[in-house]
Amino acid sequence: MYIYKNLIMATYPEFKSPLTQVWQYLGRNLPYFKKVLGLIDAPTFVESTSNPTSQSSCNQVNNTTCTIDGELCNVYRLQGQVDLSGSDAYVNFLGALTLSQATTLRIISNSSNVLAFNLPTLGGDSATALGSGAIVVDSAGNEAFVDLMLLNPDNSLVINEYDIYLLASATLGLGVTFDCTVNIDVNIAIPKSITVTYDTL
Amino acid sequence: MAETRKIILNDDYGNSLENFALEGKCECFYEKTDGSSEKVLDQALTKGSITAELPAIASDISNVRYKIDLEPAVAYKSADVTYSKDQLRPVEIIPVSAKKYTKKEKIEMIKKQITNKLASLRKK
Repeated sequence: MYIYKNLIMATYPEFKSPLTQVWQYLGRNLPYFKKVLGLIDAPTFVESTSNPTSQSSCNQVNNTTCTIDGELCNVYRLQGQVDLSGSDAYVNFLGALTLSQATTLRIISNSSNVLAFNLPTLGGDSATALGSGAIVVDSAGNEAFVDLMLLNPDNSLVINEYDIYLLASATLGLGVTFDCTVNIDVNIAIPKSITVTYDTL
Repeated sequence: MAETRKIILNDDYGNSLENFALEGKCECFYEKTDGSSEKVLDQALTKGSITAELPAIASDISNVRYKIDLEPAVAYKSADVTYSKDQLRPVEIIPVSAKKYTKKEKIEMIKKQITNKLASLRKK
């Protein structure tokens, strides 16, 4: 029993006793179990060389497909974080998605958000959806709204390579800049027949 | 009598560049059996396809040569292909290869794109 207890403790050292461990596990959700068992990996963001304030990853979502225009597609999850600071307009490169065959890139869901901290009027922080009107903090320390904030997959250089950019701008007055942190989380559907690689460059 | 011919560029993977933004020019030459050649088309390219009115192919023409000169900034290589007149089709596909960029070159291209996009954002 002592050996068994030590074995369990050695495997999951964050728990104080096997009993605590059972109760704590019962209170967890299924993705957590899967992660502990090594069935899913937490994404590891990779910093972009050309844009060190951006870090991202793109991985296929296991056991998830969708059909678009009669074509069976795999789903890829692009996640990342971008810190915007010290400017009134930003173009941040996240990474390049290279497809074995050119196709329209379909972003089928978007859970990205914009974080702003220490808001003087509202108080506290804010998490708003990625888009025009997202709340940021300007260089005077006031809440402000962006004019434009969007993901910009761009294949204008090479037809089967989508360079993923985050664009943001706000007209706040001469010399006024804005800061925020953007969490990127989108699902992209790509036909099953196409192979995909992602490089943060 | 003229005939209508569409010229479409395709990349290495068979992807059509028909509506893909490109810059360059497309020339077409009729090569005659006596070895001489006549330029019948010299048209600017703004995308990967053009539709041109070309002279009908006379009996003394042996080959049709297409010369695609793309601007250095374009990520595809220029092409120079010759078809015998028997191979000609109303829609002609010209293969162009994507340039192979090193990681460093691609990063430079990304940086230029960032500069261009930033300028567009500030104009808005």
